[in-house]
Amino acid sequence: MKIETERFVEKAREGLANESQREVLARLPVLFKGLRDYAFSTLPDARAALDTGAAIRLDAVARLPELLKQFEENVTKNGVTVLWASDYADAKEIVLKLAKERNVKTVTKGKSMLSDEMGLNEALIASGIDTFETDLGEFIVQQAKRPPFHIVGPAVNMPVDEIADLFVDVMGVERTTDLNELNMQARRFLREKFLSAEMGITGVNMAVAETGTMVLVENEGNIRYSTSAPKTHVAIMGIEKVVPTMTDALHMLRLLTRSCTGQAISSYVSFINGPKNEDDLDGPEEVFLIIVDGGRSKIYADPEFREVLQCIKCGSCLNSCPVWTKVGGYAYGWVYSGPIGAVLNPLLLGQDRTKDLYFATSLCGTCRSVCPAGIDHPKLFLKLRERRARGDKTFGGKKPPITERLTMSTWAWGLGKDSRYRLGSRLFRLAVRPFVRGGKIKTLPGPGRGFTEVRDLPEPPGKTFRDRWRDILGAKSDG
Amino acid sequence: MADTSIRDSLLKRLSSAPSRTTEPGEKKEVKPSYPNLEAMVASFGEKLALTTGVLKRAPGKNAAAAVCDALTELGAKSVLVSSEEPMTTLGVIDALKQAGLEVTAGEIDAAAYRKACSACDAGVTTAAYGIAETGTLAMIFGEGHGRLASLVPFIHVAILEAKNILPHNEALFEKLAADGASPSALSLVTGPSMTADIALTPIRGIHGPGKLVVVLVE
Repeated sequence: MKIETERFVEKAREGLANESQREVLARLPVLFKGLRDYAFSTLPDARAALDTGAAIRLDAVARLPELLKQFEENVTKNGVTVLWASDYADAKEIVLKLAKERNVKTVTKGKSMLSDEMGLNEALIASGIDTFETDLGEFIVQQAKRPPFHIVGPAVNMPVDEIADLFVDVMGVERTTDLNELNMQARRFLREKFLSAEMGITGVNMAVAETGTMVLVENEGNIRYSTSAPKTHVAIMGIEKVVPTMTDALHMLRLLTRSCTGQAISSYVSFINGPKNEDDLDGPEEVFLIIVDGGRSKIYADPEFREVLQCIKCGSCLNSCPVWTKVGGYAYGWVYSGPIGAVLNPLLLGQDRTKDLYFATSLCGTCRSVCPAGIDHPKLFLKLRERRARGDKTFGGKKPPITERLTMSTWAWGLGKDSRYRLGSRLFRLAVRPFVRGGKIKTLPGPGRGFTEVRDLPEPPGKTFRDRWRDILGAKSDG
Repeated sequence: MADTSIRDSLLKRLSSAPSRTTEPGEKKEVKPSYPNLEAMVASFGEKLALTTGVLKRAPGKNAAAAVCDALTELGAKSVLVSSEEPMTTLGVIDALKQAGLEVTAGEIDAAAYRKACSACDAGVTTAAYGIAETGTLAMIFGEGHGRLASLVPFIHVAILEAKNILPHNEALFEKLAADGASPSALSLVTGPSMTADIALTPIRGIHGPGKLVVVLVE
């Protein structure tokens, strides 16, 4: 997938100016928050449920190597062939090899964020294999050649008119804006693909170490199709997807669907143990599982960032984020958006090219409060900023430019002593006064330029807080 | 492809990473509990209704008639019936034929079965268990019980025995473990197939069934 994380500011502006997107973003958070809060209220103790979710994910990530080994052993016993990939290129090569060996012409795909990360569809299509995303939202963004707007609803922002035109182009159907008919057009088109595909590719929501079971969560039935109709099922998962026990998985399921879509459970949850048994009427004859590192082991090795691997990709941090719900998903420039995107994109792509993502956060902590996996996003944003300031290179960071460093060290020096602070604030007010236009400072020269590019400062008032404080105290003592 | 060097070096890297600094908190259970079967049936029906699924309660001898009614009410003309034992003992196949529906049933080969899945308006299958907490059906796939029969036709009618309603998913997996069951796959089904991917508007029947009826045999 094209990486455009450097264009955050530009894309955020585009998002803010897009009227139909603003309309969707006005509805979406209210709707999802209402559904989520109601769904959690049906649990005997919602707080305990979230804390337990955090405990399960923390435990799973802490014991990752041991659990991966246990899972591999059990899933292999169940008849699944496990293959390991160290990076995206490896994983794509494995899928392509499997497809070519089987002379696969058509692939139906279930939604998988990991496959978006590695650009699997593009690779398959480039090798001449017809590859169809089959989750309706993913199908739409694949055909429209767009990144996902939202982890759960990749195309929720698209106006119906655009989708209607797209379907005419892609399927050669009669144009309609009737919602039911649009959905049925997709149903008819993809149905043929499901029944003719030789290979189904899906992600994995949870891998249960204790039983060697892959748990797949969906509402549409496209994953059930992709894991039932084709002869070969290929599942791909990041190393972080493992959970210790079935009981843990069932608890996480309660949290996942509630956090995602406000459902107590999704329409379909499939528990895949392996290929069809001899007497089974249908089901895949062979099942492959590709376990992908793809930058995760590097995150794992860093104790400060390891907790991001606890993420279960539910999308609830997006729905509640004051930034995401204004600028929308495209601004983040890659697979993940919102608070989780502001952490994952930098750690997977490199800190330097994703700098604006972890600065464009209000640190309000709503993301943390709704997270069912115990992630403290604001802490991670601050860690990323700190690493950048230090010029830490672990995650592709670079030292900030000399002007920024000088400004910051001067700032620190100035704040270090009361007298310097007083003098500094007086000088600053004098220095910026010539740039006030209509009660606001919109641009500053030199080191202030970057700062004011995306922010307006209010005109400094006549007196500083300290001046006023002294005046008030003085007036009091006089009286 | 049997190269294990990637696996080994990855696991080695993970194992040599610093160990955890935070101890995980206590894991608490949030499972619901029900005083009796009637309470479970009530919860099952209520949660199923939220998804637009329909519950029809029928004493054993009326089960076949309830299946027929459900199908005719929804306008089904052709139906695929899975080749499971209750279909004969409950008299489902005969009743459907008598009602004038075009029935595909019995031992058919994989190709004919697949064709029937696409051609039929409705699929009639059993559901091994029901889950009271969420109005969920546990479809355990295997001999006679294919995956596609409850997925491809637009209408799905599931026959569930009341005694097989369990309080929650935890109880289901405990039961399966105790029975030593090892299905290649099972699906939890809660209501019809659904999407809201276009304009946040919920639509039933995007890929799987748009209509789900559960006939509860008591």
